[in-house]
Amino acid sequence: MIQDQRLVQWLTLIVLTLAPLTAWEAFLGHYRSGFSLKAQYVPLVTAALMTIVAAASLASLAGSGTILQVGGWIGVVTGLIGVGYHHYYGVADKPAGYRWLLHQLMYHAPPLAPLSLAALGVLLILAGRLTNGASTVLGLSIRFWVIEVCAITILGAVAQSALLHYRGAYNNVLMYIPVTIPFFAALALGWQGIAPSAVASTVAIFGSWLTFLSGFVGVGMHIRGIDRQKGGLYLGRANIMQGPPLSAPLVFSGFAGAALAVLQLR
Amino acid sequence: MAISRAAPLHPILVHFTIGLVGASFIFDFLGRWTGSLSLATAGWWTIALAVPLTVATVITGLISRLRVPVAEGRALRYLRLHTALGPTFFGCLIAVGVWRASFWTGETRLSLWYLIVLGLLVLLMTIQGYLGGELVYGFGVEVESHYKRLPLHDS
Repeated sequence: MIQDQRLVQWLTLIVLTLAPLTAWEAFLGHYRSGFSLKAQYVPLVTAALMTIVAAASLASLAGSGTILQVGGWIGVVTGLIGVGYHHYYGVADKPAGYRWLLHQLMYHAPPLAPLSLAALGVLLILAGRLTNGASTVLGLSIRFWVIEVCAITILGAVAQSALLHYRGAYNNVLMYIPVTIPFFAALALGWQGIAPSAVASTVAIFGSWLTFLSGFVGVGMHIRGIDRQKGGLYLGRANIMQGPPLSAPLVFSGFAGAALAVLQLR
Repeated sequence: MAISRAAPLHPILVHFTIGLVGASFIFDFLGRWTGSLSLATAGWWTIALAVPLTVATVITGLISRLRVPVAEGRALRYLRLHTALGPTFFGCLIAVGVWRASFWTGETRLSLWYLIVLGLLVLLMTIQGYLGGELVYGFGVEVESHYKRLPLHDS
């Protein structure tokens, strides 16, 4: 039970850290497109709500289970609707539509980005269930679900970064890191979740730590990428929107951290 | 001559990160060698303090970076490497801090592997510190415009 409480604290701490960063990236992307739709404000409100819920739970764990789940469900719904919006306005509604699919995916609304809110929402829901004393969801342990959600989210982040690094022509060898290390770490996590074993656990822990570190390397390299735009960081406010997304690599660190909390809190 | 209170914070805060991480390595190394519990305790608390403090170091570093209009050349290459290494070092520091916490809460003896990894982190910090030192003291980043002439005796 104490281990479950610590797991809830780690999960809410991760949401508390990642939700504002997700809001920041959503703000930049939507500001760049001029907030042409009122719906573009929704992820900011949702992320703020999730941050408040996570902070409240960290401050007072007892009795926060239901509110964590409510905040989580709002995140899930927002994320799923966001994917629909990004797909419609980023691909279907653009000139040439699906005929220029790769172009649309690379240059318009990032197709998978809203799912990071949904994944954070799932973490909040699972944390809420644990807080309320449940240990399973749909007959499977909550620890299993956390690991699998982390694995799937990391795979999604790998796909998104593969797309955007392809746009950047993999001009730096370090751009291969997010499409290799986290990919294998996600496979190891999925393996450990489905068929737990000592070997799978060791591989998953090692891979998750490397994935955790790769997120921070990514932030450093994305700052460098922004700096290499014309005018560099001296024109920071303009280039922060044109260059690589500053905090996006921390999705890898956050979800690897959540998986590690499950794997190492025994 | 008036002393400016608007000193850049990053070159001040880095010394806390450097001091705390370096001290943690020394305390843990001596603690493991001598078996001293108080040295091991000091090793834990210094790295535990270094993690939150380095958040401020990284943020002020980014703010400083935004204020510096450096043209292409050696200084900018140093600055880009320094900026890229900063978050990398911070990520490694969090990982090492969590690892150190597992020894603290488990009340187990520090492993040699931990000390080796912490030593590598100190090496990374040294490289990062060298680059930062070159930028401030070599190229005058953020301090050149605030430089006050040192009064000298006539020879």
